Amino acid sequence: MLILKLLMQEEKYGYRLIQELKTKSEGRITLKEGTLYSALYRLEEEGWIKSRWSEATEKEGAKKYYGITPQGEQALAELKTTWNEFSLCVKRIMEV
Amino acid sequence: MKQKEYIKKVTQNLTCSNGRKKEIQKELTANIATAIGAGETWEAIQERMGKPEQVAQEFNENLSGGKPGKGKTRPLLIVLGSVLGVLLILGAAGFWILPKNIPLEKSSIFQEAEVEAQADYVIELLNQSEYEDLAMISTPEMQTFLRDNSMDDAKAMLGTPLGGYRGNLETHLYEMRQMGKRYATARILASYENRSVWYTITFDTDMKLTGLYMQ
Repeated sequence: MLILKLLMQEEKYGYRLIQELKTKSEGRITLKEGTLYSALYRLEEEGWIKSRWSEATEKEGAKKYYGITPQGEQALAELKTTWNEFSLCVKRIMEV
Repeated sequence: MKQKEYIKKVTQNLTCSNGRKKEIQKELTANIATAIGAGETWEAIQERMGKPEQVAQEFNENLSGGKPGKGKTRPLLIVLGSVLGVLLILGAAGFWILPKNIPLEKSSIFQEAEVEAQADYVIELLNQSEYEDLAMISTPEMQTFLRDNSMDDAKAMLGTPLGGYRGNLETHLYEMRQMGKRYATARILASYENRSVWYTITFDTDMKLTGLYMQ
């Protein structure tokens, strides 16, 4: 869900996704490369994201960018609903 | 350890297809180059990523056993029963819950031959539209779904009529672990007269059908 959310505004490459997750979660969520790329491959298999390699330039090498698809946007909306319901249940139980 | 040797060791320890290995190798190389460009030293990157065997294990645990073909018609999610087909994150715990997969040959509770035979049986029942027999080998949740939904309508949503069944082209078996539960999953590419279909068939530890995905 977080990966899909981070890809909503623009396409991003793996390293940037790792850094953003870490920064925006204030260090609470850190993904290892193996976990992140596996998740990206599975999201791509589902058709929720798509990828492309950029051209290498003199200044930097080629990067693999990931972008969200319309199906991914729909999936994100459904995931957010599921998450909101889940977190509400947890909150109710913790308040008992 | 030097960077090339590090990536080579990761690749050597991967259990996925050669195509996927090349993809991972290329992406890791690009990722490391980006990190160095951002100011990280190779030593710091290596420490952050961990040992190459650990990196490979993360890939092996999280990657599925097979990959659906490209250019398929829109996927049809029939039901996953008690298996979540979405990614859930427990923000309070700060960790990511993702189904973890291992090759079924490494499973301590599922037998490859039994899972494959049962998955073939599911496909046979679907081909013959024997939905009552399908319900008999399913979990209660799956039975409820099969009662409430028309499997014929679901198959029609794949688009082109399948035509006669010709056999299976590929079979990938793995154990999936998620939220403390273990499942056996078979991803089978079945060939029909007019098209091919990827089946993802999931069983619980009692070998009851608990998930079915057709694409």
